[in-house]
Amino acid sequence: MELWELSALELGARIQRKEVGVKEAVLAAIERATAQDKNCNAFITLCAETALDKAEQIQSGIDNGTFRGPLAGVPVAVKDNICTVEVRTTCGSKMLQNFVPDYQATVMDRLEAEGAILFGKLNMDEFGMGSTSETSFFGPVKNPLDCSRVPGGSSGGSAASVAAGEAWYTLGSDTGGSIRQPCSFTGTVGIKPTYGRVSRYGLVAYASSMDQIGPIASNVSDCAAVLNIISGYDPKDSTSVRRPEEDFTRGLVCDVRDLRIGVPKEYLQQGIQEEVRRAIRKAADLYADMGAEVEECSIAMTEYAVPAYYILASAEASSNLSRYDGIRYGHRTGRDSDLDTLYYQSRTEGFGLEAKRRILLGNFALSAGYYEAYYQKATQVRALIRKNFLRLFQKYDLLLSPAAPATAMKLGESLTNPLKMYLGDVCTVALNLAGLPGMVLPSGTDAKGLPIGLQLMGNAFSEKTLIRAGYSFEQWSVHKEPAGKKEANG
Amino acid sequence: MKEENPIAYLCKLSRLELTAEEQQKFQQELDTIVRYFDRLQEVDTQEAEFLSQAVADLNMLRTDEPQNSWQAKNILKNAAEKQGNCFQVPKILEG
Repeated sequence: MELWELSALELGARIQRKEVGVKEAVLAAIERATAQDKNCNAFITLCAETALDKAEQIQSGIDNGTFRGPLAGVPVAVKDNICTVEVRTTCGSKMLQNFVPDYQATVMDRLEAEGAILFGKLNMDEFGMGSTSETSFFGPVKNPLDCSRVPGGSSGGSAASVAAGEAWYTLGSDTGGSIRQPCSFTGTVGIKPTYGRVSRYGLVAYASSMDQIGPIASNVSDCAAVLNIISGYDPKDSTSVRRPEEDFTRGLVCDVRDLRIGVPKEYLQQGIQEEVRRAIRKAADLYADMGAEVEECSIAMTEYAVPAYYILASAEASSNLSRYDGIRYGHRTGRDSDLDTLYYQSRTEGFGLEAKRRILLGNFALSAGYYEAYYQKATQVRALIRKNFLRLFQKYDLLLSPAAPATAMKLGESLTNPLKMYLGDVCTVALNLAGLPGMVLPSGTDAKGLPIGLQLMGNAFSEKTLIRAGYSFEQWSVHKEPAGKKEANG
Repeated sequence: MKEENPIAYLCKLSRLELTAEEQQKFQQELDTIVRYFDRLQEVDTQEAEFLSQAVADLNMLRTDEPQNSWQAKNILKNAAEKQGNCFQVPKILEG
C-alpha cells in the first residue's frame, strides 16, 4: 500500500511505530502533490524545502517522546486564507499574491504544537467568495473525480487535494458552506464547527460573523482527531468561546440508538436533484435501521436564508476588504499619482470580478437609505432563522439534509450567472447564519458516479454528537467505497 | 437607488473603477440580485432582534497585558513602497 492511500491517523500511527519516517512522509506528500496536481490545481504553493527542514526536527521530537499525538509527523496542507509565517498567503487573489505574513494563525500554532508539518497552501475562490473554486486568480481547481467538473468551493483545493490523495488531511474554512459543499462534491468528510469553537485569529476575514475554520479528511475519525487539535479558546480572537476541553475522538462510537433525528422536508423539496433526494432518504432509513428515532420535520424560513446570507456576507466583506488600500500590504498600482488614484487603481487591479461584485453589493446594503431595508432586515431574519433552529433542537439531537441541491457541476457553468451560483448554497448557509455546527460525509453517488454528500446539523457545541452520528453512518453504510483517494483522471 | 447613476455611486463608495461596459454589466446583475433580496420584505420582523453575531452574547474580553509586538521592519516587508521605518504614500499636502 502506498503512503498516500493511508488515512491521516494510520500514517500517524506508523510514524509513531517508526515504520515510516517523517521525512519519508513529507517526500511522499511532495511527490504525490507534484504528480497529481497537474490535473487538479489544488495547490497554490508547495513548501517542499521548509517542510523537509522541519521533518528532521519533528522526527527527533517523536524519537525523544516530545510529540506523541496521533497526527505528529503527518504533513498537512491548509487553505490559502490561513496565515502561515514566512509562507505566502494569497487568498486566491492577485491582491495578496506576494503577501508573506510575519505571523501565523492560531490553528497553525496548534497544529505545530502537535508535530504537524505544513507542506502546502491550497487553492480557493478569491477571498472565499464563490461556490466552485473557479474565481481564484491562480486558475480553477478541478474535481479529481471528474476533471471537467468543479470541486465546489470555496475550500475547493482543501477538498480536492484530500479526494485526490494529495493530502491526508487539510484545513478549510466555512462561511456559507465552503467546507461542506466541496466535501459533498468530492466525496470527502468535513466539519464546520460551531462559531467560536475554533480561533479565527490569522484567518483572512471574509464575513467575520460567520467564518469558521474546520478539518477535511477522508473519514470521520481523522476529522475528529484534527478538531481535537485546532479547537479551543484563544484570547487573540474576541469571538472565541471559553469552554472545557473536549475529546472528540470519544464520539467515535458506533451507536445512535439514543438519537432523535429530524429530516426537514424543506431541504428535500423542489430544486433538489432526484438522486440526491433519494440518497438522503436512504441515509435517513439507515439511521432508523440503526435504532435512531427518525422523523420528518419542518423548519420555517429556509427560503430566506440565501438572501439574508448574501446581504450580510457581502456587507461584512465590503467592510473587511476596505483594508486593501495598496499601502501597507497587498497589490499596489504603479499608477499612484495621488492618494485617491492609489486606492482606486490598486483595488481595481487587485480584486477579481466576484470580489468586486460582493464589495459593490455590500456597500449597497450598507449605504444610506438602504441600510434598514437590507442590512438591518437581514439581521432580523437571521435572528428568526437561529430561533427556528434552536426550537427544533429542543426536539431533535440533529437534523439531516443534503449538503448541496445537486452533484458537482461542469466547470464554467456557474460563472455567467452569479444569482444561480448563490442559490446553490441553499442547503448550507442557514447554519452559518445561526452559528451552528455541521458535518458532511459521503452518502452514495449519482448515475454519473459523482458523490452525494449527507449533511448533519447540530445544536451549538454538539460536534461530538455529529461525529458519533457520522462515524456510525460511515461504519454501517452499505456504501463501502472509501471517500475519495482516487487517481485524478485527466 | 436614488442617485442618478447608482452603480457609479457604489463604485465611489467601494473605491473601484469600472469601465462603462463593466458598469452596465454589474448594474444588470445587481438589479437581479437585489430584486431577489427584496423577498426578505415578506418576512414579519416586528418582534425580531437584530442579530449581527451568530452567538448574541459572544464577546470575550481579555486583560490588557503588555505583550511582545511585531517588529516594524518585518511589517514593512509587505509594503510595496517604504522609506526608512515608514510606509510611503503619494504626496497628500499641497505646497
